[in-house]
Amino acid sequence: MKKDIPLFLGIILIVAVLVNGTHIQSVDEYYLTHIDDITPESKTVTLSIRCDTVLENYGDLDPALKSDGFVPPDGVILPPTEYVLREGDTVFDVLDRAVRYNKIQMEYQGSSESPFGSVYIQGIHWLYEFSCGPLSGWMYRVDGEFPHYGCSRYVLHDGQVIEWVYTCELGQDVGAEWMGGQGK
Amino acid sequence: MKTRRIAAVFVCFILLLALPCGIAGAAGPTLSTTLKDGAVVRNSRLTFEVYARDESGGKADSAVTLNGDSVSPAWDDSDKTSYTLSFDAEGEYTVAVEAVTNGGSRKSITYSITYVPAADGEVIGSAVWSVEAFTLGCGYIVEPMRVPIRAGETAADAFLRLLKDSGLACFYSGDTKEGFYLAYIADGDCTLDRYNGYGGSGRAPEPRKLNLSPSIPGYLARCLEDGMDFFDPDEYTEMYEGFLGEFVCTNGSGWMYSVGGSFPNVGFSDCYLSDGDVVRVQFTLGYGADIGGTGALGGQIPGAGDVPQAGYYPVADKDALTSLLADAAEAGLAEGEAYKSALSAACEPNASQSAVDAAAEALREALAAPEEPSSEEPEMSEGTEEPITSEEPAAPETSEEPKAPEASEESAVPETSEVPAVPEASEVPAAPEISEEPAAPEISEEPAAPETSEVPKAPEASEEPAAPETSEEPAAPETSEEPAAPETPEEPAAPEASEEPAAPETSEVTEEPSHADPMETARGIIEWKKADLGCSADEPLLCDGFISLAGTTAGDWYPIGLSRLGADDSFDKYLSVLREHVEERYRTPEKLHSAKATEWHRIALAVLAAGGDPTAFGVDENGKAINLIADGTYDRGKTAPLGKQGINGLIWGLIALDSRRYEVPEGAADTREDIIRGILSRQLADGGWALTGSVPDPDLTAMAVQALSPYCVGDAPDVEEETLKAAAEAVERALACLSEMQLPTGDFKSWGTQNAESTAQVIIALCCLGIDPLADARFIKEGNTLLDGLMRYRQEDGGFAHSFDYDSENPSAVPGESNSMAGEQVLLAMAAMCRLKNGESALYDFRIEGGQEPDTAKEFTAEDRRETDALPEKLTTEYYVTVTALLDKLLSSPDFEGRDGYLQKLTTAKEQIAQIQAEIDGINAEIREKLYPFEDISLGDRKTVQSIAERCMALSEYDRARIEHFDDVVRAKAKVEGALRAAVIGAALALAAVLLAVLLSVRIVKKKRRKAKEMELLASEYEDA
Repeated sequence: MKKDIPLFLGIILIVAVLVNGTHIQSVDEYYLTHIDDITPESKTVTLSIRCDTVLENYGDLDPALKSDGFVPPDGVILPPTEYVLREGDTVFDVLDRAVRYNKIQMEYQGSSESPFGSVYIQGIHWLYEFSCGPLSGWMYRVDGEFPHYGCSRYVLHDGQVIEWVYTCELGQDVGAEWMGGQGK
Repeated sequence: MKTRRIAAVFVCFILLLALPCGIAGAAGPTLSTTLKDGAVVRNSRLTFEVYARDESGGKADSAVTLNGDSVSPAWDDSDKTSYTLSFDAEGEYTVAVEAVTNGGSRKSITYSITYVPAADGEVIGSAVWSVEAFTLGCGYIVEPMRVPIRAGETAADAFLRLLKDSGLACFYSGDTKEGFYLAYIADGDCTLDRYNGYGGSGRAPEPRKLNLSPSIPGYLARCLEDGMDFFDPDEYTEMYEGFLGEFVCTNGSGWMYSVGGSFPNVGFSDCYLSDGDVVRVQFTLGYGADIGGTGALGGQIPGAGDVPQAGYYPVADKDALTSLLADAAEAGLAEGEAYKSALSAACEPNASQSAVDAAAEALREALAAPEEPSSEEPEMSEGTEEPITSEEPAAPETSEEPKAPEASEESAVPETSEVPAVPEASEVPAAPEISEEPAAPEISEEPAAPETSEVPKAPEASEEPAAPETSEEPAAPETSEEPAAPETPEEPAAPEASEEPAAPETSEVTEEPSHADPMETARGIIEWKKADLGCSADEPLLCDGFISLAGTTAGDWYPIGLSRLGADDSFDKYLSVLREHVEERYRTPEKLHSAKATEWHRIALAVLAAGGDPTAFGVDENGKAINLIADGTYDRGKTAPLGKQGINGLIWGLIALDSRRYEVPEGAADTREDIIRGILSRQLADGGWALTGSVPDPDLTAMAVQALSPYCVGDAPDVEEETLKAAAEAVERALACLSEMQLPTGDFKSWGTQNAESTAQVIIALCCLGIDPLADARFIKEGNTLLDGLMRYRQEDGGFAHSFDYDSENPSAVPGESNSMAGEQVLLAMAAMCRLKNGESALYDFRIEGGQEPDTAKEFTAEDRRETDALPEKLTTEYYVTVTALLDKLLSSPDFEGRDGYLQKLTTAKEQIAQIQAEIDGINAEIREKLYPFEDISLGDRKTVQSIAERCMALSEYDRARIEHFDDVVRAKAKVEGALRAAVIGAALALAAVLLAVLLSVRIVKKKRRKAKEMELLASEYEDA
């Protein structure tokens, strides 16, 4: 009888392990695979991508793009989504991650690591510069303001809100006064 | 029995739960201190900080021994523990520091410190001190300076002396040996004995006023509004004028100090300095959260614990910069450009580490360059600092060493070394088209927002730091006193004396002639660009890395500038790769671009510059020669309107068309006249041009003049007389408009920002017209020529900055840093000036003198053969440029012995590289397609993930770096392998459990049988009995 006890305990132990899960990882592996998990301690930023202005200027849009598949009826390509902010992340890094994770088409020129220049966003979701008139293209806003330099140079901080917006009027239609201020 | 079993199961669970903790615990505690091993100490006491952390990042206990005797902590806060070591006799001491976690794991570091006693009062080294009111937007109260350290003195003693020598007073409690607390720094002429209960230091011998006009940066003000119980940005001016200290403006304000980047939690009177220390006395508005010093207060002060421990924003380590500022001031560079831009970088509370490091680097270079101090007084304007510096023994320069940037604070941002060249275009839809043209970039780069309007804006002024354009608007009187003022007017550059004796120059300053000679200036830009790319000085600028940019905005303008200067460079190589690039893009339906005709124009000019023919540049997929001029100018309208992207399309179309006065054939979509009319019709009422709206832009106006210039000088292309007249008239009006826009400093403002590129474009426009840009009275303002205006942007490294404006909201846009786009446009302007001076054709006039085409036959030289032979067996895409250029050369080379062998080898090599490139593209597409969303990756994706990983690993290291998200491949691999392992372990355990269960049941059955047998036996015995 006494000999049964360890046997019995052994079974309980194994079952307990199985119930608890056998997903055992090293610390490095854990961090590697959970780097983008949002926890209460995570630093995060919020990113959204919209093209409302195209709806207002539908007539100017490249005919090949006149489809709900390219221009969503509500203008939302990506609703505000929270992303973990990694050390040193720029606006470009977060955008790049967001479009990959959501399988949104994006094309850009340059490399964020190249000494020969920097990143320039040509098109997102098949909407390119000039797709909707000569003053159209992508701009970004951080916490409501339009920075005046490259998205791969803007280093983000915890809690910032990034909005990528498509403009058809050199920024005036999305509230970038500094671009349009001269034109009035 | 039962209870025991339950207990055992319980224990099992505990063990299981402890399992993950055990794994995590393997990392152990971390420990760092502010002690330096091998340090020589001259003070009998030494204070230092210990940062001990457990695995989870929480503060761990620490213990310190000095030669084996335990030392008790002087102070403890939530972040660190301070200890003070006391030395008695001369000699070497061993200091052991140990971190101990709750779990009992330990880590220790041992330091060896040598104590060399000094007599009280003896100078034992020097420290750099500064007194800072950055958070108020008031810059330095005392700019960084080196101050001697005397044996036996505490930091409080040194501080009082520093203030007094700087002409200021302070109010404090305690004394310099014990309990010193700095409450207020005050005007030097304050004679009060006491203020708010604190004793005064007395009137300074040469007193000065604080003269502060606080303007708290917007981002900080927002944090304070949210985080402080009380916040009134105007309180200083209203209630405390002349007294800056505790509770001014917020409940969380007061003076804090950092030594060597950390905020000691002991007072000044307990702090003993060592040689080379950097002591920064800083004014905080938010319990240290605004200056990176939250830890030093911890929970000691009510309310202080409420501020975010990480601070309101990352704060850069400015110690190295502070130290360099002190050195530069001592070296008499305080009036220099590098010092001023370093100062403005230092004064920004949330300046990024990269901006600070860049400023420090620039200053270090300025210090290293043994430049003759300018004719001005080398002393700083604050004469009060003199006595201290002069008292100084030759200070050991140790503190000059660049401090390793605090990696934990802000990882090195990749863009540090980059110039904000193309990227900014990305945000701005206008920029792309503009960035085509050399002029445009500034638009996108503009930190325009706050300063756009010329009218000084009043109400928001208190929120934002003073607008940087002090040279524009009459600056507030105190600006001159404030070291923080970002831009004081630079002295005008020297005029080009040889050319321009008549220029009414006021400047007395004679600078080196290089500033005036366009060729020298151009050479400087080339040198800078080489250094920027990491090329050595004897390499061509068009190195392989640069050539890979052929056909892009970032690439093409430099070869155009180089060629027009007559410089020798690897144009052949550039041309080969450019041709390949164009052929590739011609295979897509949109060819070079669906909207931007300027792609054709820029590339056509680059082809001409590199010695090629843009009307027959490579072949398309049908084997037809590519005609960039036809497709990009007169026939562009057959695909998309030439002006689809705006006025730039017309302007640059005309420039490209007239580069060799190309004929427009019958049946073309647009004639010359059409294009010219298109440009003229868009001229604004005041004579200028703009991308949009009715305010003229200097860049576009200058570029329109460049395009129209062939019609204003002799041998104009063949157009109607009327068109010529209209063009000439339009140009005159444009020049008047440009003259109107020129600033008193000689340069221009575009999109609200004074910048270098606009000025460069105006110089090019004038040169195209054959007008000496330095002699035309319309373009000399208050004695400043266009060149004077332009030279303001020249940096010590030879490059040019886009602008000096500092945008507090965009701290990583370093003002006054050499920039690729500014460089290329100034290079073009210098080429235009040289060509005018030498009587050569205009900048974009590529007609060949004498009508002779250059000899296009190239010989495949022995050098080329060697290079081909040296190609490795296993090629990578790194060899793309070399192989493409060699093959191109070989194909146009006359026959020679062994040509076929080389042809075979190079063709194979090119195919091989194309295959690798296809593989890279394929893997990139596969990654995008298969690895996301990451959460959904499971065991089922194992094969896919493994195949991607294997394909990546099969690439050479160089090529692997071109896989866009290799890190995600590694991540996905870790995930599927983890899942696999979990499955295997699970299966094995389940098997074991089943086996054990079987064993157990077998035993139980056996036992039962035995019992039954026994019972039977017993029963039979009983029956027998």
